[in-house]
Amino acid sequence: MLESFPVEILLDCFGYLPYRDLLQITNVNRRVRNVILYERSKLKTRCGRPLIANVCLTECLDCPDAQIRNKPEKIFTTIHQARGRSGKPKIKKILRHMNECLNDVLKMDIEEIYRNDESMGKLVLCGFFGITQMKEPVRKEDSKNHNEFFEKRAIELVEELYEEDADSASAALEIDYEKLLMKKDENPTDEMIQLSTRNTCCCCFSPTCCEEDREFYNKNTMAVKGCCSKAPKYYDKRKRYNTELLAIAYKARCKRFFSTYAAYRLLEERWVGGSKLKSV
Amino acid sequence: MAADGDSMDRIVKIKSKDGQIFDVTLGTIKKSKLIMTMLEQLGDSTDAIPLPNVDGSTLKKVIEWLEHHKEEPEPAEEESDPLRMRISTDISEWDKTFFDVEQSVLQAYILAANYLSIKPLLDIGCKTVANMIKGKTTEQLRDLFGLEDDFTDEERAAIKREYAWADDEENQAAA
Repeated sequence: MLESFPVEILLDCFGYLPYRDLLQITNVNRRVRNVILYERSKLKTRCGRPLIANVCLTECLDCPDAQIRNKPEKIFTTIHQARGRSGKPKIKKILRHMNECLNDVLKMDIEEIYRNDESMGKLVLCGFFGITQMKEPVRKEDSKNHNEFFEKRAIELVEELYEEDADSASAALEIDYEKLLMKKDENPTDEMIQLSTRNTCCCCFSPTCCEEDREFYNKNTMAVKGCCSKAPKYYDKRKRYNTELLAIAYKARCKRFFSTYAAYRLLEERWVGGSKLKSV
Repeated sequence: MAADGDSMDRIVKIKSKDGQIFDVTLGTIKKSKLIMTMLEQLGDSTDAIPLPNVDGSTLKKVIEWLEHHKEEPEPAEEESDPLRMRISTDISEWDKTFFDVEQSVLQAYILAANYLSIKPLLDIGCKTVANMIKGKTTEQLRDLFGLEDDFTDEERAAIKREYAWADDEENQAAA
């Protein structure tokens, strides 16, 4: 029967399946597999999302969709609470799979990020989940709401991180910020190191920003001024947001705050510029 | 074409692939976008509308389904909430009985619904197929649908690696 169905009908049928059943049907034969893999950006699982990581997670953990929707942080609660029969957390196995999805969509090695810096891993994933929930029409037609969403979410995340690890954050106040930043091996990727090191433009975070009138983030004075006109217009509107976040980062002098924000920015950049995500 | 009032009682002739002609009211057939479009194009013609992709027995059952559901309102064009949960269990007992048929017949219903563009019928057909798939292993699904495992050994090994996390005992137990 399935062999005679056109792709549209197959996708419609599969759209009612939970992820685990979708996996089983994916591998029945080459045609079905190809349909699902090639058409997966059109394929919505039963919770209505495209076939990407968040769906896997929702279904794998048998987590009610409503719990996750608009609450990315819940995902982590769920992950951390999820245990196999032996009592071991399932997070690594899930991350391994999610990693493939995220690699595919964001070109980010989430497992590596998570291993190096759990908070950053958390943030990137939160960002990912948050971002996938945003609808393109909202972004285009109501950028104000969109900006507010990120602003609110980013600040919330920074605050959460601080609350989670206040001791480390306080200790970090006594640490030489520059030295902290130079511990490059603690940063997850070269790109993020570049983004989170000093002398980067406060708007586009690029150390190679060539605008003459730029005013870099100054490592000595920690002054945060100016706005890079090289940055996409989208970011220009968020000068105040950038400034506030950098101010928070400086106030804490905590690498984590700064780098996680950079990760968030990176993620956003990928989202805004990434054709793969746009097609999802 | 007006689709209200007395016009709903207008008799429309439709002709199946095997030449059977059925008289149906416009009120019954209105859920078929294909037929409504054809009627608009044909104007006042009383010729039977040819449906070369649907055989007589299937068309008869489709008409039966349309008759049963003719009073139900048209579904909204687009879902207002694209993130809504898609549920496959909300099928009425009547529809369950209607679709409790052999696979070849179910296939014919679904293909006919698709061709005639009767979305509610197509939706229930797809839900029925989804319900058939649920809870079965890949092997069971191959048996159910008579599908051949046409993967090469290399592809099979790659799939096994790819989905190892899903087959993991712990994950299975917790899922």
